[in-house]
Parts: sequence; structure tokens; C-alpha cells
Amino acid sequence: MKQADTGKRPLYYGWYVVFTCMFIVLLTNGVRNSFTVFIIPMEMDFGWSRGTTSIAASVALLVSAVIQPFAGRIFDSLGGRKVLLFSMIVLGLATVLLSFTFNFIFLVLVFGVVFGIAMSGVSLSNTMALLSRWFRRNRGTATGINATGLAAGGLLMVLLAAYLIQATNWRTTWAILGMLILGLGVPIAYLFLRNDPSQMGLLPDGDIDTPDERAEKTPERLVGPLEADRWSQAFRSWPIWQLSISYFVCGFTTSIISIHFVPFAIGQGISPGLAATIFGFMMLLNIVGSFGAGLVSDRFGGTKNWLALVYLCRGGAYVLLLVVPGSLGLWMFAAVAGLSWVATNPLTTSLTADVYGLKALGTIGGISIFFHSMGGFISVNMAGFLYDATGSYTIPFAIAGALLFPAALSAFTIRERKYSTRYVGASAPMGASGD
Amino acid sequence: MSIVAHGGELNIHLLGWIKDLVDDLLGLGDWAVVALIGAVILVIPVVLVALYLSQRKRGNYDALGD
Repeated sequence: MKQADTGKRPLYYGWYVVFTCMFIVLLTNGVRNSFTVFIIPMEMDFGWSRGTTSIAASVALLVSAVIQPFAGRIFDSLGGRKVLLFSMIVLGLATVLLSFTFNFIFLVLVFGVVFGIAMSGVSLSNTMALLSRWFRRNRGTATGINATGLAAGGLLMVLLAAYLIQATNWRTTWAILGMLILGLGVPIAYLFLRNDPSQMGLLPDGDIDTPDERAEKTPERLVGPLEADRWSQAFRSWPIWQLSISYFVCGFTTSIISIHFVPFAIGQGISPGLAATIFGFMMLLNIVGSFGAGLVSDRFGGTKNWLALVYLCRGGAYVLLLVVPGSLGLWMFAAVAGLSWVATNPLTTSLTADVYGLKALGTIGGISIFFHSMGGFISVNMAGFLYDATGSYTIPFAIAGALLFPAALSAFTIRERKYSTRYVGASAPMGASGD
Repeated sequence: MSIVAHGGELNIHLLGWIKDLVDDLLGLGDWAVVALIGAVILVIPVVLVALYLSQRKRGNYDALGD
């Protein structure tokens, strides 16, 4: 398939891939997050405790995190199209299978293991790696749009599941969600996903290939000094450790909020309705932050500076949360933290791709996500433990806030100008200031 | 539960609040809200296919598929 020359330039095919990936993220993460609304009706049917159902969810998230680097490795070998399509089919079938749940072991096996493994195939890390092949100059924007699917799916799909359960029952709802993935997500992915622009005779960003530009784009010009053929090569250099450590802190500081923010706000004397409103405001800002971060990094360059700024702002938000009393502190926190919440994702991915290239990006991104997940796992449990021990969220939130400042420093000290292909052997973007 | 998800989490308190808000604002039945949310979700694939077909009609892409 080629874009024909009809005088007026057609829409670059990569944008179809962007919105297809975003739709996949919306559907699949939305279905995963919908588990929350199935907990009570399933508990009522089977007489399970809250701890029992939570095991299935925790297994799914841990399996997904552990499998992620391996899914990334398969992505690097087979390409994104096959991995995403196969994972979506398995995910859809597993979701339909959940409607036949008859005991706890079945739930853990299907949702915890099968669903968890399939989720690692359609993860943000893999869709980001796919989009990095389609875009160079607009990589941040493309990955930023992709990441907005997280918040949109978390809202729309969970609400859909909640109303479907009310209208029917939990078994029918699982079946409908599975059919949505199989009947809508899979065909769209099949129609639009392609591994890279060269498959369609295109160049990244939809560039027109003139002889001069072709000379600029020879592999020698576009390969950075840390270009990695294997993931292990990347982890012998500093930037990936700097990115992964700060990403660990990212997971630590976002997951703690997703679980403990509303209880903290209620503990401050805020009504549950207002606490939920503030949380909802923060979630809406996720979309703005994710898209905006990618856009500004593409427009102005200096991705690591924006990344450091995001961590710095989030650290400041935690300070506000602990220092400013009442609802004002919560609103201020929500405004700043909301904008920074998902913004790290496109910035980290595009910087990783710019420094290490595309050959092992799936695996490297998968390992980074593993760091992120472990940060989240530790923080949520630590906060629960410390709350039980002290009766307050002050210490866990203070730890989270304090970690963000070294994370900002870690990102800021990445030598982007020396290692990123945006700067090495290529003209820097306008206004760029890598280091 | 949401230990790994990055921004996609819908807190159960928030879900309850949004459901109350939707019910108050729209006053629709469960199925009507399902249809409404379904329509919003459908926007992305429908727009994608429509845009692709319109571009293809203008001869910008020669075929759907490889």
C-alpha cells in the first residue's frame, strides 16, 4: 500500500496507527480497570471476601509486569502487528471466558494469568515502541496521544461496565466487553496496524524522500552512539538506569495516589463527593498533561528537561498536599499532579527511543515498565502498612514527595545532547536545548 | 487493585460520584446510558474508517491492507 502522489499531500498513515493504538489502549486498559466494578457482584454470587477477589487482580497486574520484558522481546522479534493482534484475540477470549467463572481458581487462572499475560502484549510499552517506528520528529506527540487512551479508557469503559452490570448482570457484562475487544478492537487493529512505515514505502513522520534528505537519513547519520541491538547493551550505559530509576519513582508516586488519595482527602474532613470530584479533575488533567508533554518536547526539544520538570512539579505538588490544609491543598495538588501524572510516559518512551534506537525498544521499554510497576507495588503496600501503623498518610506521602526530587535530578543529568539521535548527526529541533 | 495502571484508574468513590452525576444530569435508563457511552467509544473507529475511506476515494491510498 502506497500513498499516491495526487498533488495535495494525504494524511500521513502513521496517524491512523496512532489513533488505532490509542483505541487499543482505551479498550484493553479499560476492560482491565473494569474489574473494580465486578468485585461486589461477584463477591455476592460466590460469597468471596474482598481479599480473595483482590488476589486475582493483584496476580493479573504482577504477571503483566513480570511478563512485560518478554512480551517486549517478542515484539522486537516479530513486530508490533502480530504481537498486538494475537494479544488482543487472547485478551478478548479471556474476557468472554470470565463470564463462565465458577470458582476462585478459575478467576485467578483466567483473569490473573491469561488476561495478565495478554495485557503485557498490548501494553503501553509495546504500542509506544510501535509508534516510535512511525515517528521521529513527532514521536512525543504520537506517544502522548496514545497515552491519553489510558485515562479515557479508565473512565469510559469502567462506566460502561458499571451500567451494563446494572442493566444485565456481571456474566453478560464480561461477555459483552470481550466481544467489544474481539468484534471492534481486533478488526480495527487488523485494518490499520503496520509494523513500520517502510512496509508501505513511507518514511517516518511522512517525510518526502528527496535525494538531499535521503543523504541526511542514512543509517550512519541517524544511529546514536548508544544504539542497542540487544537490551543488555542498553543496560550497560547510564541513561537507561537514569530513566528506569526515575520511572520507578513515577510508579511509586502515581500508584500511591490512585489508591490512597480519596481516603486521605476524606481523612482531611472533605466529603467523599468532593474528594471524588477533585480526583476526577486530576484524571481529566491526565489527558491534557500526556498530550501536552509530548507536544512541547517535539516542538522545543530537550526531552530530558521536560521530564525533569514533570518530576519536579509533581514533587512540588506533594509538598502542597502536605503543607496547604483543607480542600485548597487538595485542589492545588490535583492541578499540578494531574498534569504530570501520565506526562512522564511519552517523554520517557521518546527519550529511550531517541537514545537507544528501535531494535530492542520493546524489551527495553518492557523493563522500564517493570521498574514502574514495582514502584507502584511497593508504594501502595507501604502506604497501607504505614497508615495502619501511624493512623496517617503523612509519612508515606512525604516519602513519595521526597523521592521525586532525586528523580528529577536523575532525568535532568541524562546527557541527551550527547546520546540522542535528535542531536547526534541530525539538526536539533528549533529552540532545542538538550543539556 | 490498581497497582500498575498508570493514569487509567477509576477510583470506586469517583465512579459512584460520576454515576450519580450522570443519572442526575441525564435522567436516562441504564440501557440509554450504555448506548450513549457505547456511541462515544465508537467515535474513534468510525472516524478512522471514514477518514481512511475518504482519503482512499481521493486516490491517496491504493488499497486497504498490504
